[in-house]
Amino acid sequence: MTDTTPSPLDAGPCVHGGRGGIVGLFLLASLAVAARLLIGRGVDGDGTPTTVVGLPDPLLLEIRLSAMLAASIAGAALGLSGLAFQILLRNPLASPWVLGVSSGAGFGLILAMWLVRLGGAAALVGTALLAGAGIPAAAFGALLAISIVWMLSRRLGGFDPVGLVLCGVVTSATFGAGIMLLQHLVPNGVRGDLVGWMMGRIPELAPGWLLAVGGVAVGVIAAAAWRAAPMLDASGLGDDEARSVGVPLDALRRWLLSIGGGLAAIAVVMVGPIAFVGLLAPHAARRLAGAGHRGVVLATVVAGAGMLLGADAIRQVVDLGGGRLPVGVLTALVGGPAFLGLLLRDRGRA
Amino acid sequence: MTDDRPRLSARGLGVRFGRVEALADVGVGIGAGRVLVVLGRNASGKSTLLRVLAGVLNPTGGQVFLDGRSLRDWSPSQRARRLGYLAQQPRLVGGFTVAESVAFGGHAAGGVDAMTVADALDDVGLAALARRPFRDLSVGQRQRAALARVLVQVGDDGVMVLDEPFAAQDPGEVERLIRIVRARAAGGRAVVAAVHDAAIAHAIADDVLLLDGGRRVFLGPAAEGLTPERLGELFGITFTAGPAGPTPCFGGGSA
Repeated sequence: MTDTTPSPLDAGPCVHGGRGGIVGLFLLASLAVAARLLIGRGVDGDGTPTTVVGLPDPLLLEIRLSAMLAASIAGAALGLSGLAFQILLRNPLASPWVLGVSSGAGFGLILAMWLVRLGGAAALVGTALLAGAGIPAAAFGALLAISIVWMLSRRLGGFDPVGLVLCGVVTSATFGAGIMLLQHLVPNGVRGDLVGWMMGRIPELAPGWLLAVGGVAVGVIAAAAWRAAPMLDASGLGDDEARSVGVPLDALRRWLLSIGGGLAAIAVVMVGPIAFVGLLAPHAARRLAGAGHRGVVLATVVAGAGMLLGADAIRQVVDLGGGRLPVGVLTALVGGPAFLGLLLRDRGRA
Repeated sequence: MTDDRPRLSARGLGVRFGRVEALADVGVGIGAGRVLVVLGRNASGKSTLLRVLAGVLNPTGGQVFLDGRSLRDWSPSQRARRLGYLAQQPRLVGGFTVAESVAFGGHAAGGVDAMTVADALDDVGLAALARRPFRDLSVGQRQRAALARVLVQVGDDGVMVLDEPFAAQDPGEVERLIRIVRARAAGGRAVVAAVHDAAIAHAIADDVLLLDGGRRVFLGPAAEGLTPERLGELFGITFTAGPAGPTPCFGGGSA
């Protein structure tokens, strides 16, 4: 085999993105924050709904602040979770939902609804799970899914990427089937809520404790990932090479699985299984910040928060359902084609 | 520089992948300043042995010792600063440059300065490609970039475990790598390399280990191991003695 050594003159540009990219990202995210806070819906003189731009009264501002925080935290959590899974699975197309966290959460919700319908003691459990807009039920299902994937892949002999994806696909499909089954046993009126939840929506007044837990988790994990960035970089080597340069690969994979799953669970509990943000935020981050994970971690947090905030602000303007359009519809509508573009670009490169 | 005490040694190494016995009761020792070449047919256990010696695969039996201490007792970063490994097919996910891929050799040491990276890239002939994405390199170039990473990683008194570093190189690059390996050994490093080509083995080996079916059939000085008889028996073809060591006679011909 011969090498085609390019001429020194053709050394090409450095593949690193600059700080400019991250600064730009910050500005865009700030714009999204402002848009979400200042754009709202109101009614004009003859009672037709219209878009209102400006600082709202304190009560409305509190609602918008809460929604803004929820979207930022959940978006950042989705981005970081997607990044963790993309590193863990060595696959740039991995998303927070690849291991079945979203179908697990959905299953938890429908299971709780079914328990309520059963009556008796089961109804008490179901009612407790559905308290606070179903947060306990979704959290239970999400953590159940992660636990199952964790145990299955450990049985398969470690947390290697192929084994994890297989376990995730099977877990996801099984919970999906469970959702379908229970849907037939739960009355129509209740199911409508589940369909809306499955698209993903930003809560207008999320509980303060949930925002606090999510915000602290995102902050602590982002800081830890930033510190561990050199190790994340070196883990991109082949498994044996990464171990050889001193990366404790097995411990790193357990850590990535825990934080990727944990952040996905937090996001799904807060806003439902929002599509594409977790997949696309790390890609946007890499394009703008370069390959090194110091920049990528930071940029992923900003890109994830900015994307979900931006989508929610746009939803306020183009709203078709009188405030009822789930933001997940928008992220999916925009994210789907963006995802395809990503695939085509990678094909073109390979 | 030669030292009688082995830098890297192993006793009774065994590796099983399910029902397949890849390595059985292999013992070996490599001293500072020496180059040990591992020869054997395809699937004879060369790569498995090298992975175990490099500490990236746990054996199912036996133990590896680095400077007299069991490899299990070294922390990953302590081990990494003394023992480097070149994989047969180096890989790297992400858009990192060639220079960045080499700098990963300094991970355990908490970083490496740009001059060291530049020197190593210069040694392997990739200085001009330092700022190119690693993924754009050919297989042979990737192996040389990975070798530069190992050079950065283990320092002057380290142990280098190299799996087929010559396989994808053109003759000019083979010559360059032979000079690198010999020079680093002369500087005090210990080197283990899996090699297919008898002429390359002849050019770099102080000692040879011949593997057949996961078992050691010879371990000793290169002059005794690299004979037409032994290699003929190992590979099942005829070798003749030549100026560059035993030479295989392909196509049923004889010299």
